[in-house]
Amino acid sequence: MTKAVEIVKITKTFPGVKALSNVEMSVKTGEVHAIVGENGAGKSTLMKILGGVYRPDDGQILIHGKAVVIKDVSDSVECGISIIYQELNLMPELTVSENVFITELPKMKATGIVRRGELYRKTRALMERVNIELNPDSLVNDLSVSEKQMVEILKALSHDSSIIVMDEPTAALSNVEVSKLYSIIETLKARGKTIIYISHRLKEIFDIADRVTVLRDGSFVATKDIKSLTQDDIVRLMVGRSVENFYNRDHATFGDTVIEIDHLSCAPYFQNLSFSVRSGEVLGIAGLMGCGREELAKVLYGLLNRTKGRVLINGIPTEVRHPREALRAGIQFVTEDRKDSGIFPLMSVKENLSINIIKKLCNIFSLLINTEKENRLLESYTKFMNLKYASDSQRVMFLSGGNQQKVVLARALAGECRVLILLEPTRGIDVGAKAEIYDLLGNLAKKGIAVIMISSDLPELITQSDRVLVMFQGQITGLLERNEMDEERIMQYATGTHFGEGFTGGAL
Amino acid sequence: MRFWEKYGIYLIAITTLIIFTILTPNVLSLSNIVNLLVQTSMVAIAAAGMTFAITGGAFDLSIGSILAVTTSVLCKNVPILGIFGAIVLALSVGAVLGVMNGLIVTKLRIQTFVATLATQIIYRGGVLIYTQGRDSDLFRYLDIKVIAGGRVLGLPVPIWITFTVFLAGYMIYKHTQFGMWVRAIGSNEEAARISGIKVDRTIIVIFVITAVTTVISGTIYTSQLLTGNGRLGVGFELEAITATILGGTALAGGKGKFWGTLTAAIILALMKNGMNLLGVQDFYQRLATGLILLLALSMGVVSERIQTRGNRATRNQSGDTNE
Repeated sequence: MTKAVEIVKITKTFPGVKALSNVEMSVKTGEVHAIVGENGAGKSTLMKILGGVYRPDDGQILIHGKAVVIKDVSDSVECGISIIYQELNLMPELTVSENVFITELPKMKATGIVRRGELYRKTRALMERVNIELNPDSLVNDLSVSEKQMVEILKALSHDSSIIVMDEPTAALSNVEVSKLYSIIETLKARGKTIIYISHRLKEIFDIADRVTVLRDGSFVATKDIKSLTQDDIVRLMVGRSVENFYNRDHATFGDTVIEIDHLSCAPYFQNLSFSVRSGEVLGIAGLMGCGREELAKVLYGLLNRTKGRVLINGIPTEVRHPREALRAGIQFVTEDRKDSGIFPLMSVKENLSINIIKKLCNIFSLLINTEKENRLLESYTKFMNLKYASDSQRVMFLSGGNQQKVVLARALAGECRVLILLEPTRGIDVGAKAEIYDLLGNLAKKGIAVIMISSDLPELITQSDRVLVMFQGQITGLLERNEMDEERIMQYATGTHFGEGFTGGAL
Repeated sequence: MRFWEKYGIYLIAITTLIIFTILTPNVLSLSNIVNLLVQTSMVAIAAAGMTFAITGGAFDLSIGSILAVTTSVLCKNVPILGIFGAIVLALSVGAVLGVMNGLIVTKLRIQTFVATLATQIIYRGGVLIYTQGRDSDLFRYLDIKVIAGGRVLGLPVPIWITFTVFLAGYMIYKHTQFGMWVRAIGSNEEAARISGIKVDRTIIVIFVITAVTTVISGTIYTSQLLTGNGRLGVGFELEAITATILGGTALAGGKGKFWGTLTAAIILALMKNGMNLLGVQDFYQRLATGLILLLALSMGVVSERIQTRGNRATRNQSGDTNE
């Protein structure tokens, strides 16, 4: 087999950080090559070098045996490389077809006017080739996250590149859509394309990769055949130590019901939901994109208003029309959208932590913030959560994803917290931090907090939840106890197939 | 909400027209309508350029100064180069100033708002130096009056120019690669860069467009007034931006509304014109213009209402549940 990509002694330094040092790896033509590593291991930097976003300080790249210099995005495309970046890089105000072919618009020679008909046909043809079903004329803004991901994939395929790099392509996909992605990857592989696949989800790597390269702290650790490895092996290579009881936690004993949801509706998202969560319990909520689970979280936290039903906290009917009222009732919410609505990127770690309870940290007579109290708060949470940062005035945007997530969690816990609602609590963070967050979750449950965890990560739901509630099209279709949980059963409820009807999939 | 965003501006236009027709029937006379459209043309043409800029996520605050440059260059050079030669010169100077704006924004990486705030002052200083602060006039070169006062097929030339500029602008915006790139950049600049769009070049061209449309406005202006000086056009950029925003172009970028801009420019001219006919003082006219803008903003005609995170998320997700 020939080599599609060879990376020879690539080094890249950012001010103060060595992102990559002397990395060497090679990818065979026609294989699916996974790259794994914790956040900050250098995967994304390496991909951005291939994509022409960054230039290496030192080293060489060989594409199909030929040394190349990739100065910008168009060089990269010319080398036959297409990259699907982790952050969705779409233009929301443009249509699907415009997004896909933005640099290769078919146009009339004389006037430069774009030929809409041909653009539409080209997009359709591309979609048919990889079996994606979308309307080429819809605005990307109106699409769901998973549909946007599909557009991103189409965009990468539009150049007909021989090497396709996917950076966390499944972060926003439900399981049905992930299997769709798998079949796209199979199709591409059958057509001789080389795939470089970056993911935090080890299960996926075992599902589709041929070989895997592990990076740690900007250095190459190993490239191995996937068949010769177990999940534990990979985790050990990634973190340089074994993570004990990675997916297990102690399950606490439950107390009284803390939050009871009684025939709650919010048209048109969900109808007639009833369930309750006891103190010390972790209730997982599963469901495909668009099943109403995010809206449920928003209603509980007062970001959306219910249309019917009641919410009872400790048996008392409680009106939550605004996050302020939710906080007063002891309901805390950790968003999935850490970057956009979780952290205050320019503020310090300390400020991010204390902002919700800043009133309590003020001296009574003056209105000034009591820095000593604030420092004590930071200190206790740094210890409790094993937070890692350079100094307490460091801006949160410079922390790793895992540490950012811990800061957001710490903020929720710093206030009065009876009910903790988590939306995708470990999306986009690495295994080490994930294990720590699971540990924390266990500790919180032990302290008697009622946790509601909404997640697309089925292994996470199954290992961390005491019960899993499954939603489909705005209704509860199943409530599974610990001994009844398995991925297949959850998917059946989540896709509505337990009714026995021919339902074809999620938001796709 | 969608309805307001799409048609609200036209409803406001019709309402304004009805109100003024009731108050002073003269508004609807043919000669007044023609007169009104000629008055509209100056702001409208520059606003067409501004629509490109704001759609691409850029501001051009320097066009007021570029207007002064245009009047001065024309008045000083028509006697030397003739009308045609002077207009070509003015267009070239405008294009160069536009390129300078573009280079400052893209190469020095300064935000457009502050970059063009600085060049606004610089260009203003430049034109005052060029004219030595003195007026110049074209009272002996009345041929140039044909631009503002001439008629083709019974319609004044400025109306034809306005119409041509908007038609061309709309075609470029909607149906060419450049137009799509402008929308792409305004929509998500980082994504545009990663997609391989030539972001810097597109931004430079945007500033050339705002400058050149301003030169066209300035040429009509000069041909009307026959004078030029370095103090003209103060606040002109705000009029163009007002028309653009009132027309529904999103400040956040990515979404431009050409016909909205034109309609908004007409509304603004109509209010001025109607109140002039009613004998309302200029002070009250300004008050009314501000209130109309505020009204349009609050009714969601314009997409600048601040959306809270939660609302936006729900709006985005309404797409999936339709299925």
